[in-house]
Amino acid sequence: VTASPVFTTLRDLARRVREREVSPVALAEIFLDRLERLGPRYNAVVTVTRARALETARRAERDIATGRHRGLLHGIPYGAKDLLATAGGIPTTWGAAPLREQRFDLDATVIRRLDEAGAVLCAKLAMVELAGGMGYRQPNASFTGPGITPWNLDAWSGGSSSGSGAAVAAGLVPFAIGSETWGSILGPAGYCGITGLRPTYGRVSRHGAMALSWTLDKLGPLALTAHDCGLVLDAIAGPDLADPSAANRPFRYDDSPVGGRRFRFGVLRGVTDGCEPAVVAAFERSLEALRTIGSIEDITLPDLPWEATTRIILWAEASSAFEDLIESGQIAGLTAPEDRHAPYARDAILAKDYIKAMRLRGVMAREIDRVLSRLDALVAPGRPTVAPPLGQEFRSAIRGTVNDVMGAIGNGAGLPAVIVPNGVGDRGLPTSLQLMGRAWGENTILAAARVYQSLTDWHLRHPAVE
Amino acid sequence: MSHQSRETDERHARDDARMTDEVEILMALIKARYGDRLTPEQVDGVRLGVQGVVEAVTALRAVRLANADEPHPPFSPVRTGE
Repeated sequence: VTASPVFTTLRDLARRVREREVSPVALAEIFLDRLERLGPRYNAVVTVTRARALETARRAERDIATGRHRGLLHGIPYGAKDLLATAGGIPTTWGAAPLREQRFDLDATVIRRLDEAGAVLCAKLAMVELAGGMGYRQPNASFTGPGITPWNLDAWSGGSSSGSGAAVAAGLVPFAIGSETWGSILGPAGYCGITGLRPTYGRVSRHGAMALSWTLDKLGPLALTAHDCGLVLDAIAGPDLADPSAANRPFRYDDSPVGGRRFRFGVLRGVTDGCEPAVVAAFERSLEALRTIGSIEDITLPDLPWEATTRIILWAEASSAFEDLIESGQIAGLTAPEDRHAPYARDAILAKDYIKAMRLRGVMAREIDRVLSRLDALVAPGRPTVAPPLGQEFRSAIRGTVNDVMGAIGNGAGLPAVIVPNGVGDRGLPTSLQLMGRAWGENTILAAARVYQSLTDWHLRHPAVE
Repeated sequence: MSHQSRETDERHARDDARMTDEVEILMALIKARYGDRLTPEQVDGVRLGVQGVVEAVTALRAVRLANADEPHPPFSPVRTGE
């Protein structure tokens, strides 16, 4: 009897494919079936790409049978947030009702690179309309309905990579690609109890991805473990002539054992202020675990308007990125009522204030690098709360209704972060831990997260899906 | 109330009034551009958004930077084909 490939790590799936315990076509059929059958329960899927998946899987099967094995992702199914362009007549909706018939004649660079690695695109996954750039206040902000976490059908899966989080957590795909401008990978990964990696800005080409904020947008993986995230990043990272922001810094995932290495962690003073008690308790337990593998020191940053800086950059760039939709009035067709008018407020941002924010961003980048140059990672609760209820307005750092200095600085300065599950909070929902590193320091934070996951079993727990 | 705290209160009141003025001036701009497509409830929603913008930029304006503190990322010229 062959064990189910659902909730199996990429390394184990890859071994089964390579050793022909399971064929890529059979694997694709299993996950396509789950996407079609279970995806609607979580509002996780926009389009199941069955024809493309089976064609890719058959090609992988032929290649592997003839000894042309392309690596660990060869024949492995995955899903992509529906802001990544896909050719072949597959819609790319950006989660927005007015764009539900939008199609492109190209694959985004990330999709192309995963194709070259032999991975099998099985679905375009649901997302908050326009990646949340219009100022949504509630989970119901996508034409596919509110994303639902598999841990509690009355709770949100987070945004804006809602389907990427829910699909991995429910075992509908082994991994998914999401995007983050501010919180859109870490949020869904945290609320869905999985691992997510926000790479350094410029690590992964954005070519073919919807732009929300040109200087803040990042693409990255969501998966079951930190190791899986590293394997996916290895396949998608690297320079790209089609994206001038993609840095000319080749990346190779380093999964060598850390041995007896001692890590140096920092905790920003006041970082748990405003967090739910269960989140604080889980964070304190995480710190106990981290103390066994390293040191922890309190960090104080200069008192500067970090959140306002990143907020103004995001709002101003989103206003320009979606100028056509806003000026034409097409936003009136969006799902969340507030998204139909909130963008008009961004016309109030003066050029001088946007440039001030960009100048402060330089100060931010230097200050945080000064701190991180003597640390391996800053650690903090992944989210201040567990997933909020579906029918309720949620608090948002982007709107300024909750503090998120880690998110403001991490995204404003373009730093990598990995989020891992670290406990269970109210209503049976996951809590999470984030580790944020120095620019281009993905291997360091992934190593620390791997060790953390070797000390705990939260990433091995899965919701009762069937 | 001490002299110092009264001065602080007066300064805050002046700042609040200045911010309210700025919100209303910016709202006039937005209403001129988009007023014909907004309901009264939506105008109230936009006003909340503009208040958020003014609060954020007020925090930015309070920080003094040096002339050499340039925008990040810096401008980069382009020469294609190389």
